[in-house]
Amino acid sequence: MSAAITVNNLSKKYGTLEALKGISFEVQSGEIFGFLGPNGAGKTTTVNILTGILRPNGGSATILGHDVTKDSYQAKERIGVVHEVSNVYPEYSAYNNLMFSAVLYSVPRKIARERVDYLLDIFFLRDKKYAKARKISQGMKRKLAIAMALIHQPQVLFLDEPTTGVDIATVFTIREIIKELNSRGVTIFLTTHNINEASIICHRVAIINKGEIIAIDTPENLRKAAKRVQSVEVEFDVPPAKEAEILEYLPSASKASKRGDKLILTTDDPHRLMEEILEYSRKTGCVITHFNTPGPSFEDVFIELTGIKPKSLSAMDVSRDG
Amino acid sequence: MSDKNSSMEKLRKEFRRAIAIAVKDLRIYCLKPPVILFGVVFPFFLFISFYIGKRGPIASSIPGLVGISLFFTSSNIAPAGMPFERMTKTFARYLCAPLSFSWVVFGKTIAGFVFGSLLAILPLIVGLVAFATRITSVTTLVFTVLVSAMCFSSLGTLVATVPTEVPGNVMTVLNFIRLPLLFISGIFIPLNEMPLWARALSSASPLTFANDLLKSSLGLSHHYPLWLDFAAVAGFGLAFYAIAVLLFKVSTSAS
Ligand SMILES: Nc1ncnc2c1ncn2[C@@H]1O[C@H](COP(=O)(O)OP(=O)(O)O)[C@@H](O)[C@H]1O
Ligand SMILES: [Mg+2]
Repeated sequence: MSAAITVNNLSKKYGTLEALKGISFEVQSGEIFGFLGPNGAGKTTTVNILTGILRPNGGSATILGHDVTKDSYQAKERIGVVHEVSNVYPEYSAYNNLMFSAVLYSVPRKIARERVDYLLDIFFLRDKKYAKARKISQGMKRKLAIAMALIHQPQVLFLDEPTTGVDIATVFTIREIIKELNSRGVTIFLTTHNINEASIICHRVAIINKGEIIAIDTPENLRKAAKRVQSVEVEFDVPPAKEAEILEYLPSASKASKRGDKLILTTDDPHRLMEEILEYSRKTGCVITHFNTPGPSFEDVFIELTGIKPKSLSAMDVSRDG
Repeated sequence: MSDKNSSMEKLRKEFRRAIAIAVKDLRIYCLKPPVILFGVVFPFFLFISFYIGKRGPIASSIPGLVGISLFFTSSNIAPAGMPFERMTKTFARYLCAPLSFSWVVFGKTIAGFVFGSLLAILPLIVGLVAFATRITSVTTLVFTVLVSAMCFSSLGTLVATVPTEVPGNVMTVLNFIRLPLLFISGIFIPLNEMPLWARALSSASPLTFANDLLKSSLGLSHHYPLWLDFAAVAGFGLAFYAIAVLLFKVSTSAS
């Protein structure tokens, strides 16, 4: 295996803000590489530098052996880019959007027409072929933007949070297509703030926070860590005086903290914990007024993986499917 | 040898990609309200209010009308499109596509050039059909229209570098530059009726020289030698273009 992407001590500043503090990693050819981090971590900045939209302040990067700042032309012909926002031309139909992409990457007209039909089919957009992009749904726009990045059959595909802000059916279609492309040899660089997404489709995942890569790990380890730190939210009509007190009744909970009147419990076995909570309720007569299992928090997974207590982490979406 | 071939191939590909950008811009933006309003309607009324009724035969005012039309239509496409492309982030597509930024600027400029050249035919036809305008030199006329449209379109591309997502902002800047250039040009007051200081000032506007060329090719008396007019319009155009490329490079690498 050879490296499709190499990143060496890359840094970027916006004014005084250090958006990237010298990050390094490699992505192998044929890999689905996840770039996981909360909002503002530096994911989009990284993608923009690698795809030639931004210039770094320091460090270097190559794609398919070509330096992204000095000799980007060769690389640009072979990469596909799906931006964070679905940047389609609203005045153009799906067909015209795709054909424009095709000429921008020198795909011959006849071949382009065939690929347009194929892509519209796999994204379930056939009946929107001549609809103005302004008039189609968010999910369809995202799929159209992805199709536009595929028209020249790139060797490396960059996707910046492709499943954020779209409906669940679209999320599944997008994930299926990512896997399918990868099985045909396309290297995938995928950013996400969703731990679950990173762990189900990526071969390796880099965790980035505040412009620094904290860990690069396998999704198995990510999943295991996430499993150990699942959280359960519970609220009683009479809140317990101290969190430590209730922990005596709940041996399956490893940690308890308060958020408003709600109690947040960390556990590796939510099912057992639920039974213990019911038992507690019966014994003490406290009535359960709220119960929820929101999944692991990014902070908990992070601590579990690295053993470091971060100074502060931005909020991160950890819902199971979104 | 193969190196030379591949760099020719690259050049050819980049050229065609730039033309694709021009075609797309023309198709999408030529009917946008700011283009119709500030590029077609506004200069027409401006012309009517300042010129007609002031002097004798209308035929003598046709070069001025063609000049104003060229000036406003050519320079309007890029400034009308660019803020939209910043807003919808479609602008980022050019930056990650395989063509250098100078080619993107070229494509944007070609769009205004084509639009302006085509729309300049309208007042010309009106003149030919209704007001007995005579074309005395087709060659001069064709070259004048082409070179001037390229020059004015480059001015539009230059203004389009203003980093905003609001089309209105760019239009304001554009008219802030265009109107003075129009008023100091020899369109409303012929150059030979101007005092010396005004004539000197008029050299700061490319429209002065474009108008002089149009007058000459439509059988009216002109002020400067043709070679000087052509050199001036081309010179202004090259300067606008070079500054546009420079400003785009600065604004995209700074962000
Ligand atoms: N154009 C910009 N100007 C100033 N700050 C920016 C700009 N783009 C991003 N930032 C800041 O840089 C940091 C990283 O942003 P970004 O790469 O967009 O993060 P992510 O994609 O992971 O959410 C954030 O703090 C963000 O506010
Ligand atoms: Mg982002």
